[in-house]
Amino acid sequence: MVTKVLDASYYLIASILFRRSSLFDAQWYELAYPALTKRDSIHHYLTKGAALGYNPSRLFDSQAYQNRYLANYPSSPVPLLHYLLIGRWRGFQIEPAEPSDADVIRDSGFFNDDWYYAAYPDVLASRIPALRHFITFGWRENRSPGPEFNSTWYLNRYPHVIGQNPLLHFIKHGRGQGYLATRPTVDLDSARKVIEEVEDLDPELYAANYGQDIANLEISTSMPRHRIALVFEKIISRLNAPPKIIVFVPWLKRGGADLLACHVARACVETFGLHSVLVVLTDNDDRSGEHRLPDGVNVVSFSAIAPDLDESARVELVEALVRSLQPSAIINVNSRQCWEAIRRHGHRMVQFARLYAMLFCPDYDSQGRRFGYSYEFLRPCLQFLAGVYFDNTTHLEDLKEQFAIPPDLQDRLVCLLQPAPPLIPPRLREDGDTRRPNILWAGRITRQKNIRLLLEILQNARQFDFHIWGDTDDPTLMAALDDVARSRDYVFLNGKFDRFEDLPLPSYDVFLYTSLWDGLPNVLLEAAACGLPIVASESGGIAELVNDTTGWLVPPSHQAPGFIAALREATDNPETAYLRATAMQRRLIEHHNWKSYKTVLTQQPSATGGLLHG
Amino acid sequence: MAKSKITAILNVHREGLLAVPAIASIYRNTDRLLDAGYEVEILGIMDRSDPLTKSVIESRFRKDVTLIETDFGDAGLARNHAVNVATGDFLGFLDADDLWGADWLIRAADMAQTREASAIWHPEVSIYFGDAKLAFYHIDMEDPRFEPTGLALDNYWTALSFAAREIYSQNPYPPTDLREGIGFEDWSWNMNTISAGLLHKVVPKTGHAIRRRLRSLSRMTLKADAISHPGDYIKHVIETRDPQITLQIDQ
Repeated sequence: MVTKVLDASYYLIASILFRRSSLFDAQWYELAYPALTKRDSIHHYLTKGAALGYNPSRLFDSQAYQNRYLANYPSSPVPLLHYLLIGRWRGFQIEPAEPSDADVIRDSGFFNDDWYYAAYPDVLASRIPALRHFITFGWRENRSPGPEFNSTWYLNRYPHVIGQNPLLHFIKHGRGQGYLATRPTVDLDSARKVIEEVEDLDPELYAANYGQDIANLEISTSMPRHRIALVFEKIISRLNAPPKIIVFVPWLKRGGADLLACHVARACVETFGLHSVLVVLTDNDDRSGEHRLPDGVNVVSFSAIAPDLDESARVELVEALVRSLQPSAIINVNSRQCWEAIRRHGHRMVQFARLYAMLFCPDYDSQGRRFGYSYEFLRPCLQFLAGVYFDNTTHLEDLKEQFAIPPDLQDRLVCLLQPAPPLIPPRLREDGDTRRPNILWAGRITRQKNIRLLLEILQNARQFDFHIWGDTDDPTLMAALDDVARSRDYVFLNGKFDRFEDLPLPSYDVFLYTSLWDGLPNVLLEAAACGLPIVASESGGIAELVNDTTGWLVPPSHQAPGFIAALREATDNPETAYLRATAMQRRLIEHHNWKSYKTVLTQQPSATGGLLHG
Repeated sequence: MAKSKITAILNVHREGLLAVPAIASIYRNTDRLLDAGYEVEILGIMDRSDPLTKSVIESRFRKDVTLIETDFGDAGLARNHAVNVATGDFLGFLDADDLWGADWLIRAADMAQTREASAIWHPEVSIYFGDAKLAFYHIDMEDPRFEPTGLALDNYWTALSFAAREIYSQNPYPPTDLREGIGFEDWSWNMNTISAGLLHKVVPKTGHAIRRRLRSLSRMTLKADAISHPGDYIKHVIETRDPQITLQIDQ
């Protein structure tokens, strides 16, 4: 640990800066780190706390700032001081700190200052703030934080907790497992009376002196108060009617799989009515794509009700909802918790609902091995599934082959081509148009999208203007794209977009799509529906949509020169591009229409009927 | 008011020597009923019982007890059979390794007789002993703290209930199918009876003693990773809920 020796001027400047900002909270700091804090918390933070990763307040996460902006510094600047002197002027972002133990206790509502002082007059006399006393000394002395939590009883009841702050244990762990905060208020006389009435009849009672220690008898009240039950009750309380179909999704973001879940919900609403559908978000409460659902659809989110629910509890909730609501059918669109529930409890879930799922494409790890829900869950779950819908045939056929799926189970695997958005007729580039061709690339900037290939194309195709749209979590890929865009005036990096149709589509001539692996990406349907000629990688199920008639399909072996040649052909021959874009739209009309989609979703698999059957 | 006839039903499986205290507790209860003027019938249903258990039952019960052997291998179906055979106006169940508190039957019978609307009665507390030690307090559906939804996840009441014979005959116990992951016939029955509009009530100041054994049937059900069949219980909860409650919770 580094302990800095402060010179007076450094300390003075830091003190002034800290006191003028709201980002140093001495009172919070003293409660968050009660054991180590000296009288002067600013001094402690500057000399020791910052090096230990301590936060100066709930508003500033030192470690996050350190990792993001100070990782390469030769010295170890104090994060808050760096932010106040430099970072804030450069627009550096700060994040709120994780709640301290004191925050957790205060937020729980179990700590009551007045009660604590009244119960422990010595604390009042000591003039130590109540919460600080409890965090530092009180819990170790088995003192209770308030009337609703009995430390002594809790430790007697759950002796494995001894040595830990019992209230923190209860908040962080015990509550979720159904532990009780205090002895339930029951009439112990009734228990005493029963024991007295029967103990003479059985040696197991009288020889064990069962009735001797009634006061410490474990008490259970018959209604469950554990976390799963409370969340379950809240979900049920929000339903106006039992749903006919439940759509399980991890979240509702703006991604392709989220859109497919919204399509399913829309088809259910059209078939069975608005209140027939329940959409359940199992992983987190990101609802940025919720606007794509039909208005008024019932959505519940486990995380909105209980953000800290663990994975196992979420799995149990999925099973409990299926068992108790007994919809006609459920469909899982990429919810891991739902897959896990089917794997663990499928044998009994099938007694309450027909189970369906959607699968799209494999992922690949850094060694080129396939993984993803198809590989993790299809084999153990297929026996319980009435049907599995794929958005392309290629992945479906691969799985049949790879897993040697027998014919009767193969029938459960169905290709459900996704509906395309409304069509905008292709434009024929006019003869006299001398603009430089504008190439659109739009998507998530991830390894899957073969950014390395895209970079190679950008570096070697000066005859085009490239307009790149997309967001990323991968700063390395973003930095590489940024470098290319800075050094080449024909590459325009535009940042993220919300909806494809919001892009300035009429200004683009060709849609370029690169990927290492894929299903049948929705963005291709969107580009095709907008009348853009498409140049795309031949990967996954893309060849089912893009071919020499409907666009330009470039095999992976052709690499960047193959793509550049295709782009040149598409832009040098406007007539051909127009014909292929028109042929593509004919394909969308024939195969990617809403009516066919609903027909498949109703009729297939033929043995059981589809999700919308019955 | 004329006193009713009460049938005390002992459900016997393979409890062996542990059935002796159960029989003693039945007599302790029925003696009080007789003293109070009730008519009493005792019925023993031995479902796939082993020779030791049969020997204990036959030797300990008096001659006027009706003993029936069945081959269901299913606690719920054995209970249903007992209901069909019983002649009492009210029936009370006891498993052959458990014990009734001394005044359980008479207090339950008194409560049931004086209440106009029919209900299913449970003791206030069940004392678990043997391989567990705890007091399990039952909730009364008319208690303001009662919350119906959680019954789909956890059982609120044990199987040792007391009610009018028609309630049992009109609401038979469902069969158990551990291979399909369905068990806890008493839990399903509790949900089914609420869906049928019945109330589960508590008789204050009464109790049972429930023996926990490592190899008991309910333990085996847990081991089989089984759950109860909820029937239409939650649908019933949603459809019969006061809309104001949904409103209040959302707020």
